Amino acid sequence: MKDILRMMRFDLLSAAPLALVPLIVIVLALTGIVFLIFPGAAAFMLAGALLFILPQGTIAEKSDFAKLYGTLPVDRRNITRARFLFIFTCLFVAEVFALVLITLSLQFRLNTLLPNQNAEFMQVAAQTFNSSAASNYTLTVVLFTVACFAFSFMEMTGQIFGRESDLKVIFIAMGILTVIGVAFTILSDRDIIPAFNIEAFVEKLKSIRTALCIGIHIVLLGLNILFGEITANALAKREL
Amino acid sequence: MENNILEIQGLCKTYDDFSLQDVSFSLPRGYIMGFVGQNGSGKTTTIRSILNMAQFDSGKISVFGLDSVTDSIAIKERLGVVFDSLYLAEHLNAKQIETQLRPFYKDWDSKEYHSRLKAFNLPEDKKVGDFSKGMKMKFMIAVALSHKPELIILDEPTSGLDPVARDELLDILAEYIEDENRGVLFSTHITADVERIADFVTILHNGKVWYTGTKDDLAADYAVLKGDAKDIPEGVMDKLIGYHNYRNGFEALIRTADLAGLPESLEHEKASIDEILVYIAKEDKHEGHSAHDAV
Repeated sequence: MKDILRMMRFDLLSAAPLALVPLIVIVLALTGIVFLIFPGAAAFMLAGALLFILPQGTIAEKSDFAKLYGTLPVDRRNITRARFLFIFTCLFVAEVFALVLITLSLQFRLNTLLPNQNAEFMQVAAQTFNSSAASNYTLTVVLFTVACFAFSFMEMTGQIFGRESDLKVIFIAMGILTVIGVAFTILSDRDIIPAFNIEAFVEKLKSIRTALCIGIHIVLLGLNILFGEITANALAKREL
Repeated sequence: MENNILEIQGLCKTYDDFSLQDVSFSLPRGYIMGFVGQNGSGKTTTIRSILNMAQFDSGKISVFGLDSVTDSIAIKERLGVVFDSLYLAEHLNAKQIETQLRPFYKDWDSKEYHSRLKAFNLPEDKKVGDFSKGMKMKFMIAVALSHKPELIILDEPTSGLDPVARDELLDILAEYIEDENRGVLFSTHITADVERIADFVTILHNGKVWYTGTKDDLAADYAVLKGDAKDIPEGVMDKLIGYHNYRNGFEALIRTADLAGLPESLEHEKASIDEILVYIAKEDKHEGHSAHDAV
């Protein structure tokens, strides 16, 4: 576990000089929007996490890290496992930060300090502060879920099949989702399968919201660990 | 403490178009070994096998008496490696790279690291990617030396360096080996570097060890024979390596043991490592008349 933590720290320090300035810009910009206009915008803090995740492959390739990994006194599998935990951790930290921001934003309601409260735009903004806090949190958790799964899956396919396959994976994933969505719509229109009532579904989930949220995070952590093991096993047979 | 800091026995590794065949050699503690051979002779493959970066088909590699595969991590704690190109984050400076690497080594010495940077005139705040080739090489050595390794492996460290930088690098290695408990293995095709500082030499040719032993024995064992082809006695042709006919006569490599009984019209002189490599290569091109078995 110590080696994994060291490698996560290594990845963080690799990306930090490149990510810091854009991260500060994103945080400042989003904080302003979150506190003054739309609390749910905090969900986009996840973009800050991506500043640390996305460059890893490019940095490793450009700096010939394959040779470095061959000289470090670290098990190769732990190098791979660390990358997946790094992805999860970055997104999780961003998510927690976003949820804290939403909470503070709804608490302080700084939007009321802005001028022209009667303007249409300000009325719309005020509604986002008055609506249930849950919808703001839900947006953040949903984005975290999608991002965590997508980027760890892409990391797995990128490391096993090469980074050039990332675009292929995205198109295939989009294609599959489209096919499922279209098929579902057609089948429910023809009453072959019951129509999905999203409002009723969300209502049902309200009672188990917290447990569901915790469950989603545990499942995603488990998936990250699984993808990490699959990747580590695949790469262990290859030469550096 | 084991006498040999590095032992390779019967190393075999096959790729589609190349193979290492029964590579065996040892490096005693306190010495520098030059690992020479043409481009593509298998030097880097051998080094990658030592580092467990390449999986070999058969054989055994021991470093510090430990198995290179099962004890790979323990070995790398005590091993410094320098490749021919920078393998550290180019967008970081020396201070940031130390912060990255320090936690991986129990014996990392920050004072040593910073004093090496100072001694090598390497700026701590400049991105290492902006260093010149010579500076990058010295930086990799500074990193390699900062965790007090007992063995340093360098893969073509002087290629692309100017003579001054090469000279500085060799001085660093000579200073490092003053501690008799250490060892240096450096692979190169620049034989002048080997002539200058190596104690032992291993010559790799087409994936096989052509020679392994002391540099002095190599110099004593082989000579360049020159003269008129007509003066070559019967039976000697088969002993010549890389025979080549020029307008004014022939040249070939020969074992000094085979010089006995040759006519005085044939001249011989000490063979440099460079010449040995050239004649081995010529032998391969069938310019010679004899097949010389690898050691």
